[in-house]
Amino acid sequence: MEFTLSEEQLQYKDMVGQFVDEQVIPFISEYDRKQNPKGSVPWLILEKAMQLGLFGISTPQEYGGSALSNVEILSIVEELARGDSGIAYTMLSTITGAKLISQFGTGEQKEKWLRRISSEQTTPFLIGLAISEPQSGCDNMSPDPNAGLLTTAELVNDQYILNGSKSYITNAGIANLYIVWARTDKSKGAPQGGLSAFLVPADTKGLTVGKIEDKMGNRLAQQGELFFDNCAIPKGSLLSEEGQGFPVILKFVENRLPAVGAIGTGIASAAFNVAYQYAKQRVQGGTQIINHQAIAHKLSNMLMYTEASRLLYQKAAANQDQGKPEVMEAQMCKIMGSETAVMATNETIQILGCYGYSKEYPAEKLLRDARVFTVCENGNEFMRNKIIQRYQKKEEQSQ
Amino acid sequence: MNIFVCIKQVPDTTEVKLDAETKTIMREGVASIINPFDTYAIEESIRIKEKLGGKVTAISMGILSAQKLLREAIALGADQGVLLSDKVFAGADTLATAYTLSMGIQKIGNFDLILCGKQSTDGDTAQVGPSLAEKLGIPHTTNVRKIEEICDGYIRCQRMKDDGYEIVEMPLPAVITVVKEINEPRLSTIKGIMRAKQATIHVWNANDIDADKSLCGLSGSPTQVVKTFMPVLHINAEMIKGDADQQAKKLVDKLLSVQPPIFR
Repeated sequence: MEFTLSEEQLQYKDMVGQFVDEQVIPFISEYDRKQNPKGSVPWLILEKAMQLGLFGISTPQEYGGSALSNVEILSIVEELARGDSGIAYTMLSTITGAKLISQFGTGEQKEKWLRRISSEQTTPFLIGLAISEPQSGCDNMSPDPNAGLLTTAELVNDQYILNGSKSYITNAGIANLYIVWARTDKSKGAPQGGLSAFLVPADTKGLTVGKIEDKMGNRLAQQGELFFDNCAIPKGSLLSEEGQGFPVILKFVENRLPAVGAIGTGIASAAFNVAYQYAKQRVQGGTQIINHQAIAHKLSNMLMYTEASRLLYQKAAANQDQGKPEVMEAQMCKIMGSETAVMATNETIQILGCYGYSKEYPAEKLLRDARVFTVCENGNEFMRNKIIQRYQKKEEQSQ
Repeated sequence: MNIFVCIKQVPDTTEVKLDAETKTIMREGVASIINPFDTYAIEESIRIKEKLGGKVTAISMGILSAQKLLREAIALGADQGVLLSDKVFAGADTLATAYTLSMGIQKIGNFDLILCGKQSTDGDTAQVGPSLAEKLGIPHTTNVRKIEEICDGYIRCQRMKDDGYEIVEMPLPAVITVVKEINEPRLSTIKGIMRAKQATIHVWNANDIDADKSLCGLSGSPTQVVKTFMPVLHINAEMIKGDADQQAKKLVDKLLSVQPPIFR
């Protein structure tokens, strides 16, 4: 059992860390405070990230990417989130999307899209992963044909016609390509073959972008609505086969949940750094407040839970790299990372006192950013239900 | 354009600690980095290659762990790395270092431009660049803050001075040492790190570069470190009391009484 990153893995982490320290952190507060959420997209930072090759880290080398391992990818995601969770989240959709195209796409699809993601052009290539709908979220993968997605895709001659809407889609309005899940068989639930996944370019006729959400935090990531009104796409846009949208969504979940754990870890790490530096220099009662037991215990807890959350996502990523992905483990990563982020950012405000509540310090932004991750990608309560269900099932099967 | 960039492994300046008893730098557990001034030389060499084409070779003299830093140079855009490493190179002063580097560079040969940082952050002598040029019998310019023009056989650059800059023209091949004002070093890229991992670092000893061992390392060094010590800080603060006029008078008297007087 090896718990240390290799020299090369540390180099990736250090490189991204330097990028975050020099070219992300000094500029994020300006984007965060834009009144119009459309103005919060940090294009200049995303362009620099593109030049460094950070968008192509999951793309196979034969398509110009660097095909890093999941452990490496998530270490990079954590570092990005230490700078800003919104930037990490924006890029993660492309990184995850590239992974789905790599695994399920045809040769033609890979050639067309993956090369663009890993090109050295400065214009970032963004993917939006369009699953959630106004009335569906946690039940997207339900076996009940009457639950989950309502967006439909009907094959007419050589085209699929998409109708329906999506909500809270990351990169809505700024993505170049959307991966859209829709029902191709209304009589079947998701695992039974009711869903299919499609590659839909942003400029497709019949696809329009609706409201862009004005959110409390994570503002550097743009989320919004998509509408499909008789949106016709060629039959060749199908990702995987018709009725095989469920394995694609499952792969998405396996990748996405540990990544959210890594983002939570990055936010918690940023919060700890702020609180630790402050506690070392703030004097109360004739001594630095880090010497007060109440503060010391808070800092120790933050450090401890951050490390535990990191170990959990690294384990999940290592298991994925070894071809043994485990959904329950991925769900634990998501809960642990998001709740650690909320705890650590909340405690940072407590340690900084009124300064923590002031916009002059980064603590309040970190808490606003952290808060979304206990509700997005399915709420933590739903995740907990799933964890114990899966555990119980495995336990009873083993008897 | 065949470009060489000389890099040195130095202790991370933010982590340098001196042994209180031996007065020497404690290197154990201290991270090594590329000499910060050399990072500007690396960046400039890559910019020249991107503009004119050619090849950049990063070269260093040091212990085997310096291979890591040569890989960093490759990750930034250098094409190959050469490490000159041999026990006989140990204890080299600037002259012996320049000789060794010159032999390594001549082994590869066909050099057009050699770049160095203006000085290292540990030795601070700023001598290796000019000495290297002398050993190779080619011209040099120190403290270059901008390359105005470079083409086959010719370079024109701005040399930084205390009161401005001067323009220096030289035939190539030549050596330049650069200051931090010359550019803003880039970050390595993911693909750069991957390329560096796969790159072979050539490690050469004294025999490989046909070096005269009597001119290398300690035996080739006319200067030797006799003693290293930490300067003792003398801070004697004296509070001048009284009202403003009294304080001013006391201060002037004090300054005039200093030998030699600070002002009259």
